Amino acid sequence: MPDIEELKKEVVNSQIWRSIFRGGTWSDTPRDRANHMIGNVWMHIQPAKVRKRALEWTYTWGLGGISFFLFLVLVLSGVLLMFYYRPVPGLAFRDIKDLTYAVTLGKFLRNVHRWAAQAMVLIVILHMLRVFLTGSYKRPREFNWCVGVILLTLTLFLSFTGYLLPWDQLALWAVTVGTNMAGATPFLGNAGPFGASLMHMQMNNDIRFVLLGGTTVGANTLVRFYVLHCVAVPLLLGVLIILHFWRVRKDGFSAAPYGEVTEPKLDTWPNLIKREYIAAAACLLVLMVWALLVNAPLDVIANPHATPNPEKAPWYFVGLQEMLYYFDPWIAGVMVPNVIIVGLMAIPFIDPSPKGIGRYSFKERPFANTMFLLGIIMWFIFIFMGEFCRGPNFMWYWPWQSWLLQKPAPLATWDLFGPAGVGKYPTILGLALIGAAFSGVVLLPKLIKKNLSLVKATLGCAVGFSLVALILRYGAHVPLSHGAWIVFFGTFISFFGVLIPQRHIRHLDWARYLVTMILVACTMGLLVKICARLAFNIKYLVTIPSVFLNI
Amino acid sequence: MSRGQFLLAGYGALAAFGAVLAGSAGRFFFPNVIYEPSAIFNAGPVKDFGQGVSLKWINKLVWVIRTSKGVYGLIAICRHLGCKPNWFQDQQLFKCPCHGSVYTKEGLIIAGPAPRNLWRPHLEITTTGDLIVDKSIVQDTPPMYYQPPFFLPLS
Repeated sequence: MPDIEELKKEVVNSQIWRSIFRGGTWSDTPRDRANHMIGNVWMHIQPAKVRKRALEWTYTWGLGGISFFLFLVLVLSGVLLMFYYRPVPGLAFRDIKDLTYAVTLGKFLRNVHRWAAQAMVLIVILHMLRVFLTGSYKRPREFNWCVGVILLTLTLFLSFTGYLLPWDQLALWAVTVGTNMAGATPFLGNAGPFGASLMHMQMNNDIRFVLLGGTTVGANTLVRFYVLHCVAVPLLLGVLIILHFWRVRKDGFSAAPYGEVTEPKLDTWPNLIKREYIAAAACLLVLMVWALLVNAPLDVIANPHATPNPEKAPWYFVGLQEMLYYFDPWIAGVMVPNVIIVGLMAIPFIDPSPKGIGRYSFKERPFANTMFLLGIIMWFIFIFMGEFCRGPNFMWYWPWQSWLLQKPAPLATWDLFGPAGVGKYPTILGLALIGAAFSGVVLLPKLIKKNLSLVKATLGCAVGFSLVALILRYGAHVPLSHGAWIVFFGTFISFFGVLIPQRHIRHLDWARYLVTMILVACTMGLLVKICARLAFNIKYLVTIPSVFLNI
Repeated sequence: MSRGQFLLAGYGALAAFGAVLAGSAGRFFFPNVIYEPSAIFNAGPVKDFGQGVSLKWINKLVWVIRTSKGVYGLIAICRHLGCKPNWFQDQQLFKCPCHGSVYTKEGLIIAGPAPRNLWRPHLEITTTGDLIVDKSIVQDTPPMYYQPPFFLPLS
């Protein structure tokens, strides 16, 4: 039996090996290891040395690396799938059927592609959560956080465009709904506020028309989504990933407060490379087992004359779908996602505190962590509601209830403020009241100068809203069950919208304070509207039908 | 003209050129010709429709509804986000499977998130008694909602 170590040395020091990997004879010195990173085009996106803390599993969880690995898996499996796929209605569905039943490994490849895509969405979200909780978006990494937010958006957009390609029922209706939301964009969509009235938007000249390449989801749409999914978006994503990695490396590989340079460092080769390899291998294993055990769903062929009942979006958009139950499409489908994206990008600039960089610490960053986790948890509660609590006709079915159970038709909704005959009270009054309430929530925390006891103040709010509920019960015959919604949402909003900001950010400068509080107030506004729907069956707080503006 | 001014003018021209180029690229994405089925179709003799909601032309995404007073059509596209609602004979309601919008038999939105009533298409009865449906001319608000050509009184 030959000596493996001898053989390895022989190979590594051969002329061929050394012509491929730059450097002289390998003797495993620190210089050799550094050179291995610097002298290799693939490796040199990583630094030669890494901080010891950044290597700990429980610090990064390898989430960024795993996201990238999944992206590579998706590119590879996606390119292979393209060999058998034609983006034409009718043919597309047959090709997917062929891939599933007639092509060697076709089913496995599609499963891998589908599950890797779903996993990538989840892992990218978790990566963002990790970066946030460790304060890794702070100076000098603000810009890279923004690039990351765009990468998250593009990941979701890739998922969305890929959703249409199988041309099954799931695909057709998810994309019908998705593109109709674009049609509700203010000014740019034919069904959005000021779209038809001010901008003369119609079915055949608005932003939805561009997305579809027509007035309904059809052959043009399939080609558009195919090109976006297979070429345009992956290219853009690839370019931004390179930028993202470059900045990760230049900004010091996370885990260190700005200016601290004295920390001990380890060689990237083999310490970091080894960990990346283990993470990728484990990820691949899980993915392959998953793809072998669970098949990617494929519904019946797309039928534009029948919508499945209920029709649900993919899980990461189901929260949005649930929100669409309470809000007009221009809010839930356009404003909410855009404000979330812009709000996320604004975070590094409205949070100038140098505290809590490079470690998980709730104590050092109570406000930032509370608000961010609140947002993430709300998002996942919406997903849970949409995924598990909605049945036929999108009616509310508890997870343990049978969908065969007949639900009574929902009660007729009504509008609070609007023109005569539509709203109960005049529009102007509604706009004034909403404006006053919004500015109240925005300004109140900074105007209360006293240190409040959080427990006492919260209890005070709860008692106050209970009194309101009682007054409504005996003054206006509002049932106590509806009053309970008011107590719950009222106390919740007072706690997260006023008391927590009052405690933690009232000392912030005005510009940062206002941006932060506007984002907080928008989040609380969502809850106000949901409460209005649940407790009073109100459809719109304010409606101006002439310009399609409904809030 | 100083060197700085000359350069500034140059950059300005370049920016203007870029803007025009971007605009043209944007226009490129609006197709000039689209191949979609005609919005007008012949729904057959109007006397063939019995009282109630007819699903006969659902493949054209149109319900034809005959009442004791006349006939009208409803376009089977939810005004919320474009799914196809279903007709529930027992409750006399149209319900959308995507986000739970509920419409009356007249097409009026009564519950759920849709901001508008269902479209009623333009109707016409030929001299031979055929019902011609034109989905390119639509109406969603009273009082036109209940008047010809969006509601045709029949004796």
